[in-house]
Amino acid sequence: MKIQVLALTALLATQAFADEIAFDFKDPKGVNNIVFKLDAPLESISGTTNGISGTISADPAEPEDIEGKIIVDAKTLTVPNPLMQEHMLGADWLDTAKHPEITFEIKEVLNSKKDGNSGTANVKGVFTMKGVSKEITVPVTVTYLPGRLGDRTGGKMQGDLLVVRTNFQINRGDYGIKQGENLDKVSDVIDISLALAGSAPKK
Amino acid sequence: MKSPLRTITRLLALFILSTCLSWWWFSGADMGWTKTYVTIPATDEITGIPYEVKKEKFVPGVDFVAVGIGLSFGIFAASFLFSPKNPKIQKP
Repeated sequence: MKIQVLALTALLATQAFADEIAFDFKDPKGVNNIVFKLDAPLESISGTTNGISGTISADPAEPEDIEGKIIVDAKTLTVPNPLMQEHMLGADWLDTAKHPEITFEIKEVLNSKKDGNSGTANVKGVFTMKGVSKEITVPVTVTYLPGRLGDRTGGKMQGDLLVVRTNFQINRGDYGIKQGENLDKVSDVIDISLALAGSAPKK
Repeated sequence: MKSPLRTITRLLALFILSTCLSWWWFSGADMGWTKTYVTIPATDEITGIPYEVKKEKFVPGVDFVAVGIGLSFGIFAASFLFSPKNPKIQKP
């Protein structure tokens, strides 16, 4: 009897994780990008990064069943002005020498709505920047593209793609970046836009 | 006869000012900060992800103009350090 219960439990556990796919967000094409914008008196400061990695495990049939972490190499953040870039990565601002990563770890998926292979949800997670972690909720749009990895790699790899998009705002002061300072030069609010494609090659 | 050093210094100041202003003007008179790259928008065909392709290009901004004006005024001011008359030419 015990053996039968154990076997049933093992079978159910296998079934539960059978449809979960791990998507790798390190994009060899360099298309995955995060854009950040800050208002400033002369012109808004706009920068980007392609230094993105991380894994998201998702079950396309169960939109609320997502977990994973997106990691940004803070040293890859760029703005078009070299002096501004030096200040941004320096000790007073992001201090990338001490805090080389900016991360977002998914904790919970709320209010998910599925429409075919796309879906929207509010994703609650922990955003960490400059060593400060805060729980935030971001609106996310996810599109599952089954069997499209081959089209993207010119047939070199076969598999699925998961496209994740989100726009949200954070306050730099909340993460210990010149809290309450230089507000006349650079706004406290940072607009962040992510557009990422994760790939799950078939083995 | 005026000191050639004073004239040369002032001509240098004028050259720096005019080069700086014309470079800024003919690069599009960008009213923002100086940029060392520009971005060209693109879209990934498969995923529909919009992204930016970076292209190295120097675009002078208002800080470039300010440095140019400051430098040329500094050189112009320094020209007053040179004697107005050429000391080598002795009056009879």
